Amino acid sequence: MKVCKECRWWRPDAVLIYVGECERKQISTKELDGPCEVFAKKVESEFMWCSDCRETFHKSEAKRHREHNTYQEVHVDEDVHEYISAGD
Amino acid sequence: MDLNIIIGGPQGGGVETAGMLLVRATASAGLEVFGIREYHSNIKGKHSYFHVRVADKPVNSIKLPADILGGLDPETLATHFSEVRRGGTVVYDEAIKEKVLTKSPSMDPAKLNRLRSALAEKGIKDTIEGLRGHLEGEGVRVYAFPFSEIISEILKGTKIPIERTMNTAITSAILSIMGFEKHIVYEAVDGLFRGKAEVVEINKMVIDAVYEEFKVKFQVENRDKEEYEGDKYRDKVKKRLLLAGNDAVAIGKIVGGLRFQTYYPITPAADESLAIEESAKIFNEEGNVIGSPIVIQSEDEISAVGMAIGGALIGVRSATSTSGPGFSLMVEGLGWAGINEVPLVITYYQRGGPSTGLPTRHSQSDLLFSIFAGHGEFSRIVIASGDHREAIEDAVKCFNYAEMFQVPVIHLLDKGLANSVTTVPIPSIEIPIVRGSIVNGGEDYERFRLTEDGISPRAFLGRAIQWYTGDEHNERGNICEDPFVREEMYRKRMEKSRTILKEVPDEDKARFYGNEKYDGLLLTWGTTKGAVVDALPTLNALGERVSVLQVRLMEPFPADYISKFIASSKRVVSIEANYTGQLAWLVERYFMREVDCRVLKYTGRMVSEDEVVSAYRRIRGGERRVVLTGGE
Repeated sequence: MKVCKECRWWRPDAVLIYVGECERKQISTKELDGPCEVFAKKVESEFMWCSDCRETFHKSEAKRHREHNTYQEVHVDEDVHEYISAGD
Repeated sequence: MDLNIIIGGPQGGGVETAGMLLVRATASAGLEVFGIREYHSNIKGKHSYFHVRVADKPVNSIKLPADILGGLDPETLATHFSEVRRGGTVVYDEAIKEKVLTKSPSMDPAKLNRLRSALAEKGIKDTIEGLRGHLEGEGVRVYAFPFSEIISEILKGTKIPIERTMNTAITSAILSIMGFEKHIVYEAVDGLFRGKAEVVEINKMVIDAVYEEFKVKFQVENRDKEEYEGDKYRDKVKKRLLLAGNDAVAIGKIVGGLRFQTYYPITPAADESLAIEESAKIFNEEGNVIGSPIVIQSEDEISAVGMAIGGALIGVRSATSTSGPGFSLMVEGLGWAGINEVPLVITYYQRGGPSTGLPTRHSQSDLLFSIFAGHGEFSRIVIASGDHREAIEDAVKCFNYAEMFQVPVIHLLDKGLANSVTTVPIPSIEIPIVRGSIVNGGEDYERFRLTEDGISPRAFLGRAIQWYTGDEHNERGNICEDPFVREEMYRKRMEKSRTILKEVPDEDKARFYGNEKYDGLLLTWGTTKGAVVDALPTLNALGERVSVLQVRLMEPFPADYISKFIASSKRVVSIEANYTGQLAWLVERYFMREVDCRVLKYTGRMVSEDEVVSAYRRIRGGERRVVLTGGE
């Protein structure tokens, strides 16, 4: 399926994992949106983001994330820094 | 109306804003509100939620099952679905319908195992759609709504991400279901995002769209309005405060004449210092601002307590604010304040311990620590507030008592109070500022002079020569190890406890709720009082006469005053948020009688009204120790 979550340009949101941002179009989309003209197959890079585990991992750890949803990048909206109480 | 609403999502994903929107809207609609934030101590991603209780009568606790559940993510539904009552309502974005429940990224393995068992036991398919089928079968109304689709349409052509307004969308849907008119949600948005015109505009567009779509697609306006009657109380609105416990203490301190506050950042205390720093101004008699209290973030808690002691000796009303780990570090300073009779106020918010423990969770496990902390013996006052209103007033009284008796005062609070938001009638604080015995000093001044009432006239630093050390001293303050002087000074400090018990009014010792004739007496303290008092009508309806005694003065312990309540009771039950029953322990120590039953909770979550009722049923069934585990 040529939907956003399968596209190399899509970065899932770090928090709400079913929405994200298209790096090429610079717009906000949902994971099952698409297909569109900029769709491109995902590629693997040295560091990837796993939205199932909410963590960045190195390719040497890929085995641990085999069945997971992994992406080249993650989208962090720095403006959504609603007040979060410190837990220290 | 008495509704319980849970709105949850990943920490950092807008849960705080969603909860506050709900609280503001319902409060401005004229209802009474009590809302508690449950959040994880990590910064982003873990499940957090806001439990809001909305009623047409004052409420000071939460209650389960919930009437409405709003989920910003699949994990919220997976976590709370079993807490929704039959006939309740669940709202979420239909974009998550294919998500697998057991594949929630931040779910702890223990919770995952509980979820797997629950799904297997109830035969629920492991997806949001599967859960929907189950809930509908249970009579729950499920609104899977295309929130992200709607937001995406509104934001088309902008670079604003969808997630930024998801919280507003789901909260608007909940308020729409409850029958609130749109303008009430508008007002809440205006208040919450004051000064951010663009944010307000976008959020109002989302509110418009959600209200319109909800009306068309689900026709909720006609169907549900009768049940929830959300807009019925508008005319009854009286001016009230909507505030968190941290704010309540900050207000009390400012009203009480605080001039110097120190702190080292720690959950859940730091917000109080920030509130003082942001808001407090000192006015002169003409109404002009002449300054503000000094708030200092020190390098650690040892320094914080030391600075506050310095401020108190100089003669300004000084306090420091902390929680368990910080108080542990302050204990040496507390002892120093004890031997030097310093009017120091320590505001102590309990949280789950020991060590770092559960930094963002509720607990009442430091009662005995606050009473006994420190080596040697000296008089102190420990006073525990049970709600926001008390917290405001007690903050004023703590300064008065510290200066009247020249002892360290610990204002004992808890996370449940710090992080809960509630409506409070605007208090008319008529507590006079009492500064105790103050003199100008002079050449013959003796700081620790022996007097008939045990209180030495106090001169501020700079007004007379004074000697302060951690050592035993004579009346002048010079180090002295003479056994007779030691005996006099020791007795002088210790006898203050007797004076305190004589002079502190009964209302600050304990408060009684219920009918004067009772068989069962529920002993409680701190914010657990809210759930116990809220449960009282239901308990009495069970057929047994039950009343509540909330103990407030913990040290010196007002045994004489409390004894008459205990003596009139056939069954004494303590209800508190710790493992051992620390209040029960104190009562047993003073009265040489066993507290009949203990109801305890130490999961880090607040005691809820329904838990008090079910615990009392179990006690009537013969249990003597009931451990509560409700809430996620």
